Amino acid sequence: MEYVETEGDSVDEAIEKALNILGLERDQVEVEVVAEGRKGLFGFGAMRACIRATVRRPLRVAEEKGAGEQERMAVGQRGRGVVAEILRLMGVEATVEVKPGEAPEEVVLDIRSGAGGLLIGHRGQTLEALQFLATRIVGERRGDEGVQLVLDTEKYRERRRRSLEDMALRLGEKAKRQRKTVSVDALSVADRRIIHEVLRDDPWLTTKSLGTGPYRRLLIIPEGDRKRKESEKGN
Amino acid sequence: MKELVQYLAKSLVNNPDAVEVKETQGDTASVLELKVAKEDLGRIIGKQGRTARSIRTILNAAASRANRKVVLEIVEEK
Repeated sequence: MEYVETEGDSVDEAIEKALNILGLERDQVEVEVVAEGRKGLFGFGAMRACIRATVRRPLRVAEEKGAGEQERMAVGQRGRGVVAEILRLMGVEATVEVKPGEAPEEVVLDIRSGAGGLLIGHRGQTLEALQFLATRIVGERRGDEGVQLVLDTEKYRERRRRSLEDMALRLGEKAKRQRKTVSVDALSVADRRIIHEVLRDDPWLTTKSLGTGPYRRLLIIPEGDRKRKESEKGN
Repeated sequence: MKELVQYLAKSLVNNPDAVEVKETQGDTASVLELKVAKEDLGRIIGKQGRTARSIRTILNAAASRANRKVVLEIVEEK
């Protein structure tokens, strides 16, 4: 992991230096205070503040991909052809539009059709199936690298994201109020990721996934709980 | 319905020429039998059956438009 250690008259100054060295913003690094620093008396017993700044691993590989833009749109066009053909064979009249996605590696195929909820299915499973097959056929691997196809229709993704965010916050409150771990099961990978993201910034909560395959559950843990576990592990 | 399965199967496998789909129509339901080359069976089924499940999901959506039921059977060649 990439990090720098800097010194300064105060912790803030040390952080400032570290950010200058790394060329990053404050929210892109994790700061650990190594020494608080003391003013001392007439220069005696003074101690410089020292911090260690670690580069937060970016959730998505952003930059460096100016050339990736072309590839992304090319994959999008191929995906569009595949999806349009599947829809035609399903007997659904539709137009498919290629749009850049939110994340740099995502390309969104937005379906406009008269079929409405039919293409979404129960909890989005039909849309998910279309996306999965289109991805397989286009031949892009899902994962850290490569372009990811995201299918959407009637703003389903946005609606789903909102309702998951609401749910995440509600369950987070519940976990804190009851001081108990709340578990959520039967969510897709993408759905779980949204919940992890929403609660990541809450200092009182930790989220974790447990189990494998379709039985994978998401746990929302009040922080106190986590600390206790960690100290147990330490023994 | 048959063409849909044919298209999906042929796009997913390595030997598209070996893909065969047989449709048996009943009053309200049809049965589709899909045959692929042995080495492509895994590509049609997918990890934990995900590909097969996705094909069935799409098929059901398409069928529900026509108010019918469709059963997809994946047949192994001897």
